[in-house]
Amino acid sequence: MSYTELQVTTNFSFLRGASHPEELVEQASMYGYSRIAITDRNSLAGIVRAHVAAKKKGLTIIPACRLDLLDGPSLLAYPTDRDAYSRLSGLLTTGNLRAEKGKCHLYKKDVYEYARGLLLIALPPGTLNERFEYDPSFVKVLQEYREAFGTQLFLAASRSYQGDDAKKLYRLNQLAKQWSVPLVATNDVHYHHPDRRQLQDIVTCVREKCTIHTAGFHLHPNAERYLKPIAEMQRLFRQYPDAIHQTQAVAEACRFSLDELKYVYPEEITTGGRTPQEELTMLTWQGAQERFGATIPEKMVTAIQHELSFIGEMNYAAYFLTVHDIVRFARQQSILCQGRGSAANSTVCYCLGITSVDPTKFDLLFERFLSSARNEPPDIDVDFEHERREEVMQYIYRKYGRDRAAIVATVTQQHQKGAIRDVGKAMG
Amino acid sequence: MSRFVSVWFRHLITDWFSVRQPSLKSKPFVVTAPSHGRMVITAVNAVAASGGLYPGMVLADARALVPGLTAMDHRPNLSATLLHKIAEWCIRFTPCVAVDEPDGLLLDVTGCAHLWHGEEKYLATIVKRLEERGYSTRAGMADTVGVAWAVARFGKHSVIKSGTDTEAMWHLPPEALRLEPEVVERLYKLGLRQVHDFIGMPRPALRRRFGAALLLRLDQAMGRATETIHPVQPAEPWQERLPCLEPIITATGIAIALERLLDVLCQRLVQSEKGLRLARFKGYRVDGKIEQVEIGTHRPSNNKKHLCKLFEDKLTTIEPDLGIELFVLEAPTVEAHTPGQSALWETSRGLESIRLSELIDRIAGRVGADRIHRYLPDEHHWPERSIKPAGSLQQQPAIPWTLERPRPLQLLARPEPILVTAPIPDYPPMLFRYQGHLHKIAKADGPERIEAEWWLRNGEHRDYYYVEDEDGQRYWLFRLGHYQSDQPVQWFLHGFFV
Amino acid sequence: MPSDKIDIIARLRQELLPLQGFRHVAGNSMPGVQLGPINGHFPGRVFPLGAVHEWIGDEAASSGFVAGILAALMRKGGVILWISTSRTLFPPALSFFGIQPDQIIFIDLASERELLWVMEEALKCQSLAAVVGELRSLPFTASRRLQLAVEQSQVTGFILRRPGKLTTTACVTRWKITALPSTQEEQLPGIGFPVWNVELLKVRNGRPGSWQLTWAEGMFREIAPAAALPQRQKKIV
Repeated sequence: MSYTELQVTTNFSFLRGASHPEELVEQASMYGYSRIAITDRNSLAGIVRAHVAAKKKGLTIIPACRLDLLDGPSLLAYPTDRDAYSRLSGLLTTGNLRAEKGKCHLYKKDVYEYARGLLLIALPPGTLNERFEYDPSFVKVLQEYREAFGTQLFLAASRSYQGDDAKKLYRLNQLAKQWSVPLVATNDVHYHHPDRRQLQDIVTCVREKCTIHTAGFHLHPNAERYLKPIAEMQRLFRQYPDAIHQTQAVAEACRFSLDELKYVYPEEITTGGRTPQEELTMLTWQGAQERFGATIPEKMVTAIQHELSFIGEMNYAAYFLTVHDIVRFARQQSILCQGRGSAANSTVCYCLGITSVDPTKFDLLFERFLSSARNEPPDIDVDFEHERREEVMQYIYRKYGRDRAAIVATVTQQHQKGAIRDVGKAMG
Repeated sequence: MSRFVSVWFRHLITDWFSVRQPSLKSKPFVVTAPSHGRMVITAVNAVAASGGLYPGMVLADARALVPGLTAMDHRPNLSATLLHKIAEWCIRFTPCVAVDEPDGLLLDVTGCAHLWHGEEKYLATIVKRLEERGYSTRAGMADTVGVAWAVARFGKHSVIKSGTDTEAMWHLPPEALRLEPEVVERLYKLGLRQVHDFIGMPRPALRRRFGAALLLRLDQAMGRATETIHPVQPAEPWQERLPCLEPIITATGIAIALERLLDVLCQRLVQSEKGLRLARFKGYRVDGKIEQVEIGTHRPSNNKKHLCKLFEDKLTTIEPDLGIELFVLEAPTVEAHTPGQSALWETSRGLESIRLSELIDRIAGRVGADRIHRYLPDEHHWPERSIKPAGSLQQQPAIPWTLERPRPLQLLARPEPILVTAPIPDYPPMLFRYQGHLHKIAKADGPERIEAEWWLRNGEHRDYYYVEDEDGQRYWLFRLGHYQSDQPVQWFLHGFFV
Repeated sequence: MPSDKIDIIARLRQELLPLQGFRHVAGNSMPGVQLGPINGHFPGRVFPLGAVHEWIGDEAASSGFVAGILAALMRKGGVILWISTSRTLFPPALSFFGIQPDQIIFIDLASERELLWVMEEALKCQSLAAVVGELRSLPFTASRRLQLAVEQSQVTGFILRRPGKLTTTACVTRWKITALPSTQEEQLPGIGFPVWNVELLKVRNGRPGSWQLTWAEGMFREIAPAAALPQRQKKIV
């Protein structure tokens, strides 16, 4: 009897999880897990890094997320295939577009709309009422979820060590039977090891803007929300072995892997049925003529050909086109912009108007681009006029959909300096 | 019009020695200190002074003049310390007493004398009482500090009638103006031997010849320049005084004094819409000791009846001994208290009730305020820290009381170690022994794992179990830390459920 | 007996009650204390307010049972004074009975002599909803003084007897509360609602009796005695 941890919050749930996806993967691998799900809050941001780390360890990451709803209990959502993944992304985009930056406003009916192909696990409240029962309002929504999701719906059961675990499991099991919603064990993991509790507490303080001395009940009473060994999970659910079995059923139904997303890139970016490489070649030569006049210096021709073939080889054309498109929009709107970064040191970028550093005047740097671009994806930073940056962002959202842009734009990581300051604040 | 008294101790230092060693009184004696390898006199007593000795003399010379002279060692700071002590004692005559170095006191006695039936009697009492304490005393009373100082040292009449300060100074020598010796010397050289010799001179001429200090001193004496004094005890705005001509020695007398003072103070408080939170009732005893009792209230009060009741229990601790000659009632802590508020509290049944707070004041007065406790919820999972003492009777909880996890109605201040049989690693216990009785556990909830709050203290977590024995008694037990096979497991009983 | 005589006797009885220490609070402004079947055993079928009640038996259980009554007395606001020389009461647990623990003022004293003084003073204070005192011994005269105080003020007093010698007192009732196994729906793991054996040993002008009560969802409820009650060792109170 094996077990898959289906509820894992990483530090990509901003200021909620206290471990990196890599640390969680590492720990899972050590405990002999073959799969874990990553369920950040209203975000798929953590799954990429988890995926990369998992591949090295021979683990499978189930890309998923926790949907915190404004009008109902939270749900864990697991796409079973690529289409379902797209729908989940679409769902999050819908939520992001409704809310200010970094927030996501979702309602039950949104989930109903995008639910095809998703498996959903309902999360029960943390406490029982004075009759030792789950609040009737939860039971009511559970019914509603059951009607909406049918057999896609499951019910989470966790051992939180808050005194009434036995009663809660008993009640959950009753509900599961009554409404035919299978019980699934999870440990609501927030960190890979119990030692992370202090960091978890500090992160909570930063999130709640308080100090460790005033954080009070924002802090968890214990350190049980760590990734536990499989045997320990089996022990904790010894009276409900089906809940352990059920994790495998959910895991096996989720066949979608991030690998399937590899070459997905915006398609509308080319014109006249050209491939991205053809489009880029065309635009680069057009640009070259604008930059250098009718006769392009020999040296430049060689450079352009060299770069284009390299870009083709690495399959980076679409990326250059995207940047070009954004810069073109900015120029049209007379928004000042300037590119920099490893790939910006290329003649192609000069021709496309992304940078204005004349490669004939500076002996470029393409070798630097080449050497770096072989090891990591090309990197072009474009700085926009600060006051009008929002316009560019709106354009990107409009054109590419907010989920694609949002993944890059809204992952706010704590940088070291700010983090040290925040920890200082949290300690009062 | 202000009135001041200046007190001058002619032999402050030697009088102090004589008080401690009465045999010295009739003998010539001096106090000496080493200076440049010689013993030099710093103070002389009256007998020695009449023998022609004076401070500054070399002891050997003095011995030649007065055979059998006794010499005592000089004590640094003695005069300052003495003056301060005597000043505090003089508070029985007025609340505003200042030290006037090197050998005097200044008293602001505005409005005080009538209690002694007039200024002459008042001043005579002050001098008499100080003489009784062994200090040879001269005193002067006038409208200004300057004139009071002058008449105490150089005057014929000690009480200068109000408004006649200038005339009083007329025939006094220049040194009566508290001038530097060089200035005095210069005046004498020019034949200006009395104040009236130069008081009418043009001011610029005086300034040029004798300096600005002379003008200032003149102005101060004439009441043209104000002079402030720095009392040894700062003025208490909410203070009432009741001096008694005949020292009070009976409990009834003390109670009447308190009542009178409360009467006046409460009236003032009511008029200013204020109430006191702290009050101190002091009795100045004839022997110089001060007896005092203090009361506190939980909300501002100017209710005389209530305050009187609070003091009642405590008055018995006042020991009048030979009698109390001054009663002082002061309220160091006073807060706003509008009539509307008290009307509200009068009718309220809750913590706002004025009757309740009066009851609490009374209990506090009898058994001590530290016996009274009220608790507010505090945001801590650790049970002992989940409540905190309330700062006041009215302080409201900042967070709601919650009872998400069961908590025992009785919690032991110190968890009691017990012996427990429990399946490992963390299943609820089956048996425990407490006070020699074996309890078989029939039902249990838990564990509720509560980590030590690492930012407050290190330590192991507690695994709490809410258990019920076969009799139906309910207990709160915990195991400290995780079960570990190589270490003894520590179990505790921490509370009893209903 | 002619009906008018019955009326007269009934009226006289009613008039006699106040003289015996029972008084109805004017206008019935006080919410009643709902003790289910027990109420029928009190004079006038209401829990006697403005009287002093005495409680013996299990400490935590009797404190809990009293807390349930206090909750009713505090429903209209009001403050409780809880006086003790050896308090273990943990305020947050009072929330279980719907009491705001910050509405309790604790007076923790060194001696029972002080305690009796404070209790008497407190019982005279009409602003209080009730006064609770934890006592080992209660001499008859002292209990008489307390009873006199409440007859004036109409405040209700509760004496929780702690281990000590039990003597006759002037209290209006004497109760004995014993903890019994908790009750819950079958199969539900862990501990359920608390259950007590409630004995009304003495009640002036009423009838003693014995019941089993539980506290569930904010109120006392009577439960049917279990077929076989576990035998408890008699404890000396």
